[in-house]
Amino acid sequence: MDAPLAASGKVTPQPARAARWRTLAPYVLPIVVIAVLPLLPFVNNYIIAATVRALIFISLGQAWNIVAGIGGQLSLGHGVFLGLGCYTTGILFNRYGIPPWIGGWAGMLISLAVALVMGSMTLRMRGVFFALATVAVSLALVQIALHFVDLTGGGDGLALKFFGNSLWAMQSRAPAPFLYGSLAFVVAYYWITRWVLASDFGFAMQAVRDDEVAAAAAGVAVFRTKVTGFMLSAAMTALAAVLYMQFYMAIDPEAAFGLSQAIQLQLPALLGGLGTALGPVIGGAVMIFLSEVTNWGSTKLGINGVDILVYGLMLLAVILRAPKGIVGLVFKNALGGSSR
Amino acid sequence: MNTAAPALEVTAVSRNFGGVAALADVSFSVREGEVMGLIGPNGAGKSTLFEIVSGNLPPSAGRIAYFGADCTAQPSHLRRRAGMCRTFQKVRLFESMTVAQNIAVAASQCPTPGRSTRDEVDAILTQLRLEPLAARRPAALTLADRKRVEIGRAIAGHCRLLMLDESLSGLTHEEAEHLIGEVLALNRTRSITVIVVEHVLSVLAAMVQRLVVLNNGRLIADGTPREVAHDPVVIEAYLGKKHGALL
Amino acid sequence: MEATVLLALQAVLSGILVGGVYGILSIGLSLAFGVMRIVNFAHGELVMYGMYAGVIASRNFGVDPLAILPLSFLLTALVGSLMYQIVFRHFVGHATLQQLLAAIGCALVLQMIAQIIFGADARTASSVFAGEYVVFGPFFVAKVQIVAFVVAALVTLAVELMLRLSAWGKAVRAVADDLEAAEVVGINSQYINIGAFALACGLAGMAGSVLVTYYPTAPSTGFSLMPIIIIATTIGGLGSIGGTFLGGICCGVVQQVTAMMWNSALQDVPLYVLLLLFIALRPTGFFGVRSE
Repeated sequence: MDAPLAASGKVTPQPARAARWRTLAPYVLPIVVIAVLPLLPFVNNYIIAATVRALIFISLGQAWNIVAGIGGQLSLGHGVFLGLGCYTTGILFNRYGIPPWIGGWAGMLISLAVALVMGSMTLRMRGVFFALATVAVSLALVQIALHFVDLTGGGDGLALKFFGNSLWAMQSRAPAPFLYGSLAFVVAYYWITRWVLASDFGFAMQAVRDDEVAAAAAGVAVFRTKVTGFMLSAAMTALAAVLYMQFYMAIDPEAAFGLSQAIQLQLPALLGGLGTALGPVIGGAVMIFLSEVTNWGSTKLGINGVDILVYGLMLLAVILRAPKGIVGLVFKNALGGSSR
Repeated sequence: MNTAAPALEVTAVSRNFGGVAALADVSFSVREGEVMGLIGPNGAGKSTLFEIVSGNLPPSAGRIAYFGADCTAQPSHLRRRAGMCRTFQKVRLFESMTVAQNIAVAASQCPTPGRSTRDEVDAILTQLRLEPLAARRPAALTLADRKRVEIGRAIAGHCRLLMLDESLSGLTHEEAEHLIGEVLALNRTRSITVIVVEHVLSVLAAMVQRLVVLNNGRLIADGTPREVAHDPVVIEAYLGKKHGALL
Repeated sequence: MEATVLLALQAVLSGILVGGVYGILSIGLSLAFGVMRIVNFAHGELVMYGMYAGVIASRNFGVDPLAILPLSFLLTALVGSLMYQIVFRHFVGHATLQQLLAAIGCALVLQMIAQIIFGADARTASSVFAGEYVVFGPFFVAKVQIVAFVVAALVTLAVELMLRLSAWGKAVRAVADDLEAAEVVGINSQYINIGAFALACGLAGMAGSVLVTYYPTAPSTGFSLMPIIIIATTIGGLGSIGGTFLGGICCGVVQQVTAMMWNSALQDVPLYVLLLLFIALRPTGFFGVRSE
């Protein structure tokens, strides 16, 4: 069912072979560059680790983009699923020796269940209330995680038992393996986003986003669409959380469920282009770059927190001046599927 | 389902808001293939009735039957999938999508067996002469074109009953005539029963075979346009005094 | 058993006092929403600014934070007006995704400015009433908290009366009820909106100065207060001043009873559950007029 919906909007014919390489090159090139990073002589582990951080951050942003960008539902407390993913894999590993390759799926299932319950309770209401509900659940989880110290390590957080270089434990001393893992996630999530955008389901989500009442009048099961979109986004976040946990090797309630983190992972999509496949990728890259630059500059001046100030200003700038994000500014409606 | 069942049967429908009766004991039925108009002065309850029939508002009492099947409790999107389609007074299109995509949403949610979404979209684009606009976004269209797109989306897939909510407002006389012509063509070629809600009588007179008049939440007349235009009760409702005729 | 009952009553008493302050913290948010459908996520940051104002008054000038309430009001009302002109003005009328995100952007900016100026550590202010307790029967309460409650209640009453009795207040309520009708009657909604928003923000700052008499502040405090503020407003009713105040009291009582009778680490969890229930079943709260 891809063809009619996507193709109906396209005006240009399919590019010839050589031209197709040209259109694919901007996508393939960065992937190749990142993939060979560890092999380059001047690249040290710090740069690789920074790239991994960026890619994980981007993939979390891509997951959020599904429910917020395509679905139009503002989930402010998406940290719920990041936290559930991290803690589930961590607890299953530390306590029961279950490797994250399996434990991660448990985290995903739990997130699906929580998203189903939360969504069912709050998605019939206006968007504001859904947003507030997600905040409430994530903050409640912060307190719960702080309280059940035996299970979660409480305020000190949960640290994975260290196994050195172990494929089974999904751990590595060097960041390079995570580079490929996170790159794979970003590429996979990009294609999932493209696929959703072109599918009947994706169009139903966008119809709901644009106008719920009209969507129902077109036959869309609005409530079910919203909940399903939310669940998909939750599952994707929980899976990316596995990589997050394995890379950082530790998590604490504030970082997992806290609002600060949750808001930051919205920024890639917001800056880059909400509801587009490329948006979170570009937005995330820009954000990390800005973040590194401002941190470098501000530590010289002895101040911290400047990067978050910059985030806030950029968020305002985007909302007020460029609501379609960077992608909207640069590409102006040329992308497949639909951009806003 | 009874093949002789009317396309729509409204039975003793009432709706109260607080202490106010927006609709009181309204009953009528619409035959399959009919083109019917629903008119009444402002505040007569037309919108309320419309929302109840389309499934966005539950009635306080009464029953709605669609081709013989009771749908009073059915949610609006399911009614749409069963073929009960509507447009909006203020056109509501999906602004982020092209014309073709707007129609495709409905076509994919309400599939006709044996016909792919793409074919259905193409067929509608052709019938409503929307092909040149297929790749445009709603913001780039004129009001008349937007209304046509909305009708295209409304009839996509599976449509047996089309309800138009004051769709002619804001159009020039010529545009309105074109739109009416398209709707009547749909009635003929696709066997779509049509209910047109308006509050200006003259617009409907040439279009409909039958008029139902509401006033103060009650049904006060039901007949051909000519009969209704000369009905003293109707005249009084619109003009508040005895008058010759409304047309 | 008697001990438990006494403990519960003590908790309720503390809860009411603390809740009153939660109430005054929240009425600004409620007002902004009621009049303009603005969900001001930066509200907590303005409270935090009021708290810092109290700290500076107390530490640098030796003045009780309560004495500078009008100043805090003016300060945050000004900041609020600026925010309105630059950002919120474009989003009046519907609580859209854009509006929420813009508010979050404002919150981040305000918070980080505070962090850069004051650093991330917590600060306290001291009040003339600090450290004193009032004992009656088996119950005791901190004098500071009684004073805070009284101030909160008085201010709320003043706002409520102003909205009901003054010409400006009536104009505000007219705009809140029906914008078009209000404009037809000649009310300039632009002025009303910015005025109402400035009032809402001023109340936030003022409430912060009240709160800081017994609660420490840090740049992150604004953010951490938002959940309670949101819950108080939702339970009490978005748009209702008195309702929100009562919602605040409700929150205070639930929180203190949970803390004393069950577990102080989980004291907010029942509040979040309440929020979810209200959102799912009655988003307009007890006294709210509309939902959106």
